[in-house]
Amino acid sequence: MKYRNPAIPEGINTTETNPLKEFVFLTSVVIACIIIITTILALLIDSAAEIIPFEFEVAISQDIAKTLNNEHNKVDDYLQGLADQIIPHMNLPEDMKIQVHYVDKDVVNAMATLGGHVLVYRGLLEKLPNENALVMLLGHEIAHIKLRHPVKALGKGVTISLILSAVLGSSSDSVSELINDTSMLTMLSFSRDQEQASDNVGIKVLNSYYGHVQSATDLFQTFKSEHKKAGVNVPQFLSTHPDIESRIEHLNNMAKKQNWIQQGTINSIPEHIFKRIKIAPETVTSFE
Amino acid sequence: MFDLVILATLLGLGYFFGRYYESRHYKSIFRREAEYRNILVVASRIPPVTEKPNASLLVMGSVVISVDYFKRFLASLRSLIGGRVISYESLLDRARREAVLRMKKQASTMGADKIFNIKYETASISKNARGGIGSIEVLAYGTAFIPVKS
Repeated sequence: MKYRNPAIPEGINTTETNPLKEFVFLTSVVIACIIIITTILALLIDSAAEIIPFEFEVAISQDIAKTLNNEHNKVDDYLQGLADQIIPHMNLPEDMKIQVHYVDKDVVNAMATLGGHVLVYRGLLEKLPNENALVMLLGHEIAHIKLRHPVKALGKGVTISLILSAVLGSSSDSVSELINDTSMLTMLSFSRDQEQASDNVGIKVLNSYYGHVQSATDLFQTFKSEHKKAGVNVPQFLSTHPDIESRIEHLNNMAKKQNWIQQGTINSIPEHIFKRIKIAPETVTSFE
Repeated sequence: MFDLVILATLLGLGYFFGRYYESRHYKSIFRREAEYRNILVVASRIPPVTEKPNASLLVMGSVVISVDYFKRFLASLRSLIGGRVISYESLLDRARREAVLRMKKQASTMGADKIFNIKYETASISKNARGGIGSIEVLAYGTAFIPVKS
């Protein structure tokens, strides 16, 4: 018997492909699948959430309600009073009770949460130029509650993180990170749609309350100057809210299209409220 | 956003260093395979009947190669949708050939001219370490025959 060890041709046990091609193919297939699955789930949950009775939302928000201050001061009363005046313009369901809370914190924001609670922070309230902007703000936040956004967001968040953790387990490698991020970015587009929908309701309320839409975009100008001050510039696809410029433009277009009166009286926020806000900022004791 | 930058950096590092080491390794493999071609490697268990006396000796070669971040990322993606894990093929090919070359080198220093009954073992190191970069060990061993001058 004759033994030989000739050179064997290359490329039999390995595959000659460009790894970058493989990378692009695999990532795009996986990302596309995740986007499709997340979108379908989110749409299903959004339509299912509308069936959930508001009472249930109130019941599960008991813990949230406890953490909010229940001692109503003058600012709370003012905000609640204003909300009560604009609510008749919003066709809310009978059982939907809105509670507005003033939060004495520097945060330049306001939010709507489960159970009909609206939170307005001092940081934002003290910067609002007039009552018209405040009505726009309250209209926007109450619209979130009317359109059931908090319960929808909760449902989506819980379901999708449950499914992701069931699929990915507790592994924390880069691929599960990619899947999590893709799914999260897809969900953000739903959040931006919700903001847009609430803006639409907000300006409609402003128009029917005052009879004109003067100062409709003042709220966003406030946010814009705040962002500029803070130097934050998050690209839209990474943000829960649409780009401020496009929100302003959208509202202006909408006002034009609906032939709403764009000029009107500007109502100011009562002076005693401002005094109250500025006299009682959270006292920070420092021990420097 | 920051996560994405880190991920891209790690993938870039894995890709460029992985490609660099792989092409360098293959060059070295081709060169040494030609160099050691005179040592026969045979999988048969039974050596040929010969009148020449031989001394026999166990020879082995072993190598540990780490997978890079890029290859691992591709393999993890593959594990979601199935199909051939092309990114690991070259890794294992390199490891097997390197192990044989080291075995041949050992045989050559012992003055052997052929190796019979060659076998491979493959082990994955850090198999159970979650999140750790995996590496593989390939061990090749066989019986070397050293011609004895009578």
